[in-house]
Amino acid sequence: MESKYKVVLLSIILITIVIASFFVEERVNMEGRFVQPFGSLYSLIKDESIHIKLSSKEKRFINKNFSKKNTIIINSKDLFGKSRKAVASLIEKDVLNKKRVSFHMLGTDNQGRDIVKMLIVATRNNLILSLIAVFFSIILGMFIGILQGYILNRDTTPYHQKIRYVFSFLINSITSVPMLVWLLIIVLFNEMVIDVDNDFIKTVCTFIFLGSFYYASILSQTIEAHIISLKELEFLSTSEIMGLSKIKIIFNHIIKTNLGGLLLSQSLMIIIQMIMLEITISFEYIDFGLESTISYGTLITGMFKPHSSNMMIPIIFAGIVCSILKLIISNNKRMNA
Amino acid sequence: MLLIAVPAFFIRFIIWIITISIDTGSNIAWKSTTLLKWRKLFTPDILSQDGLLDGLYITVSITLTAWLICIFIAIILSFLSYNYSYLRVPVSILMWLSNFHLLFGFLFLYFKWEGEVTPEWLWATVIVIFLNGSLSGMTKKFIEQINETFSQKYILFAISQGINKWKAGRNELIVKFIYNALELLPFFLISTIIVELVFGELVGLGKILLMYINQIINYNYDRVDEIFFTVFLLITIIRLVKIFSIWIESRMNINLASK
Repeated sequence: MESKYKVVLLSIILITIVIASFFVEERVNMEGRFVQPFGSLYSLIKDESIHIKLSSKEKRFINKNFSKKNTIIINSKDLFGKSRKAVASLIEKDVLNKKRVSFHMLGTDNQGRDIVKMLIVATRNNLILSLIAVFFSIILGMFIGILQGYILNRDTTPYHQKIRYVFSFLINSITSVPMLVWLLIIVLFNEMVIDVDNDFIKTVCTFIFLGSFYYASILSQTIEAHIISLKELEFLSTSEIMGLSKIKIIFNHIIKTNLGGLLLSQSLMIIIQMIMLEITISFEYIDFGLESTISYGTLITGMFKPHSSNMMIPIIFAGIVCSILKLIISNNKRMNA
Repeated sequence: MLLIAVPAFFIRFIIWIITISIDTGSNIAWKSTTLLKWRKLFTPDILSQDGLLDGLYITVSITLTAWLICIFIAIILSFLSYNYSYLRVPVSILMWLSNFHLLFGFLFLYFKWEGEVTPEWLWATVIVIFLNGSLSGMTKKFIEQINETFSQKYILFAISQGINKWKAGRNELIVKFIYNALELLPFFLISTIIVELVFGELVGLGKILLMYINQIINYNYDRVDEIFFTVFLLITIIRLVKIFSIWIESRMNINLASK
C-alpha cells in the first residue's frame, strides 16, 4: 500500500476512536461486577410458580443466592464455575431463567466499567493532554528556532550573535537535564506553588510547563538545525534580494513550505512521549498524575485489583496507539521523501 | 562545566523558592535572615546528602549493564537481519516490543508472579534493555550502517579480491557502532531512573529524587541541598557521556584515517 493511503488509514483509526469517545457512556455495569475478557454478565431470574423437587446442591444454590431477591446478576466465570451443574439443571427444569445482560470483549475493571469504553475515553483524554503540550511546544519552539536559525543567524551584527549565543546556551542547559527531573520539579512546583485541587487541571499545568519549557527547547534546536541546512539553498537569498520582508520569508518560505513535515513528525513524537509520561506519573508507585479522570495511567493503576490478565490490557492498548502514531511518522517521512 | 552548573543551580533556585514559600517549621536556621537565605542559595552543603553514592552505584551499574548487553544483542540482531532475510520478521517483532511502555515489563512480571518480582536488579536491567526503545533504535542504526559501509567502493574492491567483507569493513563499523551506542547511553540512564521508581528495593538516583520531592510535598522538609546534588550528578553523567562520545568519535576517526 502507498504511504499516503497508510497515513490516511492510520489517522482515520485514531480520529474514529476520538469521535467514538463522545458517544461512550462512562457508566458502571450492573452491580459493578468484575468480568474477564470475552466475559458476559447474566441475570438469573427465579420462577416462583414452579414447585418441583430439587437436589441438595440445587437447594443450596437457591437458598444461598435467592433468599432475599428473585433476580441475581452473575458473571460468566461464576456461571460456568463451581456451581455450573446446579445452575444448568435449574435452568433445564425452568426454575431459573437465564438472560445475557451485557458482553464485555476486553472485560471490565474492578468497578465494573467496560474496558473497551474506558480505553476509548482514555485515548481522547490522553490526546487532549498531549495536544496541549504540543501546542505550547510548537508555538515557543518555532519562535525560538526561527529566531536562532534565521533572524539572529543571517548576516547579523556581533551584538545579535551574542544574543544568539546566550539563547543557545540557555537551551542547551535546559536540554542537558533529564526530562524526568524536569517533570518531577514541575510537579513539585504545581503542588506547592500553584496548589490546584482538580487533578485534571494540575496535570494540564504540568504538561503546559513541560511542553513550553523542555519540549519547546528540543523543538527549537531541531528547527534551528533545519533552517541552517536550508540556508545552503539559494531560494532564501533570492527572496531577500528580491526585496521580500523577513516576515513574509518566514511565513511563506520557511514555515509553510519547509517546516510542515518536520512539525508534524515532531508533534506526533511529543504526543507519544506525553502518553508514556502520563502513564509513568499516574502509576501507583509514583502517583503524581490523574486520579479521577479516565486516562491510560489511571486505568493501568486501577487494574492492580483484582489480580487478573485485565491489568495488562490498557498498557498494551497504549502501546498499540503509540505504534500507530510511529507508523504515521515513518509513512509521512517516506511520503515526503 | 557551565552546562552542568547552570541547570543544576537553576533547579536549586526553584527548590529554594519553593522551600522559602512553605512552612518548614522553626528549626530551619537559614530562613531566619535574608543574608542567610542568599547564602543558602549559592553555597551547597555537600555533607547534607545521604545515600547518594549507593544510589549512584545502583543507577550507573544498571545503566551500564543494560547498555553493554543491548549493544551485544543489537550487533547480533543486525548481523542476523542483514545476513538471513527469513529472520527479518522475528527480529522486527522483537524490536516492535519496545513500542510498549517501560512499565509494561514490570506489569507483566507483576502479573505473572503475583506481585513478587525478584531479583529486582536483574529484571530492571532486562526491562531497560528490551522496552526503552533503544534496542530497536540501535539495531536499525546498525543495519543502516552495515548497508552503508558494505556499499562503499573499498569494500566492493576487497570482496572482488576475495577478502571477507566483514574483515574489510570491521574498523569502520566499530567506529560507527561505538559512536551510535554512546549517543544512546543517556536514554538508558533516563530509562533506568524511570524503572527504578517502581522497584521497591532499587534505591537509585531516580528513587532518591522522588523520595526527596515526596518529603517536600508531604512533610514540608528542607531538601534544597539533597535535590541539588542528585540533579548535579545526573547532569554530570549525561555531560560526561556526551564528551566521551565526541572524544571516542574523533579518536576513532584519527585511527581510521591513519590506516
